[in-house]
Amino acid sequence: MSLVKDQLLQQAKKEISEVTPHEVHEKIQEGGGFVLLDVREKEEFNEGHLEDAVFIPRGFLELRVENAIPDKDTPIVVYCAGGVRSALAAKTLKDMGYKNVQSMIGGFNAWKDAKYKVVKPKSLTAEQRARYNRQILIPEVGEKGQLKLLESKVLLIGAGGLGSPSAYYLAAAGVGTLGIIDSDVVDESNLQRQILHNTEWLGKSKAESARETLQRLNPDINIIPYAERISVDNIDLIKDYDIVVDGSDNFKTRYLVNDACVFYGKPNIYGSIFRFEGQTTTFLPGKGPCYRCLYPIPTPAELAPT
Amino acid sequence: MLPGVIGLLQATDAIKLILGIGSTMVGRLILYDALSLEFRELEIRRDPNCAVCGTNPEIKDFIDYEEFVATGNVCSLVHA
Repeated sequence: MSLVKDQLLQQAKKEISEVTPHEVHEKIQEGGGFVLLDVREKEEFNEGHLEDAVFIPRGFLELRVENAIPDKDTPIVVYCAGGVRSALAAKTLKDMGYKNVQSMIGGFNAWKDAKYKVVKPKSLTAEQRARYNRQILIPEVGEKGQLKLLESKVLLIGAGGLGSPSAYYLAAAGVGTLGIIDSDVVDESNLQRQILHNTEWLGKSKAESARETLQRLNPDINIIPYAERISVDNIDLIKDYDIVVDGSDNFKTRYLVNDACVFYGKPNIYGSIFRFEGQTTTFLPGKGPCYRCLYPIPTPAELAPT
Repeated sequence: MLPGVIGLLQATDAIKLILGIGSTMVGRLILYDALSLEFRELEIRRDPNCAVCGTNPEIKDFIDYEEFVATGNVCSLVHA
């Protein structure tokens, strides 16, 4: 006996269990413990979906689900746009041996109406694809990597000899937010190595000079200058960033930045130079040493010119 | 020249950390001598007695860094 669409749906709904968006939302708040499966089409998914949902379009369900969710005891909540495709999908999953499957009544539309959280996959603009093309082509980067760079926030301590080259390349690479803290003004003797600055900026703020240079190179990113000295009073701005690059030129700053990075759990990429010798390492809280592990006491001032 | 080399090593590690690729400089102190064009590497480890990240840290909050750098003594911050 052949069935019309409504009969198929009714039959499916009899055999499966359904759940409301509210119930799904509660379960997520309580810690989850289940897989969300989105069975809509790609365009629908890209317009917005539930956070952390696994995506398998209905047409590929039987072919891909066992790879995506190998354990058939895994609790699954299936959803589509309105609750119809998901009911049919839930029945298919049940027939395939999945023991704990529920279909979300009303689907994504009901979820959105209830104003629950929806996420949208990010993608590069055409301009970004063009600008970062040479990097995107590198297998270890790709579009995914470029998006990560654009979302990252790096704070540079010092826009001087070390800060200049690192800021330049981080900006060029598309690090989305670059903070630069430097209280100094540009002096002629700086221009021998502090290549972020130029003669037009003599006597003016290094942080602002850096912003202008970098923004011209890459208007796509956000440069935040802090024309101030880093101190205990403003150190917690580090919390707004993912990574700290320390190119400072004095021990007081180095120890302060180090301690802050340990307290706030931030990677601290250290570099220092003296005449023709340089040293560099990355201090990662919890994984390796910190600056104090290497240098528990500061070098006497006479031996360490800034 | 030298600041360029070191600054770029720092920037490269930042990119690698963000992307989660390659081996970073964590646990490795990279030393570079520009005159001889020699790179050396030392393995560095967390000091369990470290004053701030050791097993029993002495420093749990910001201190007077000016005092520390001048004398080597750890003094708690004295607010004026």
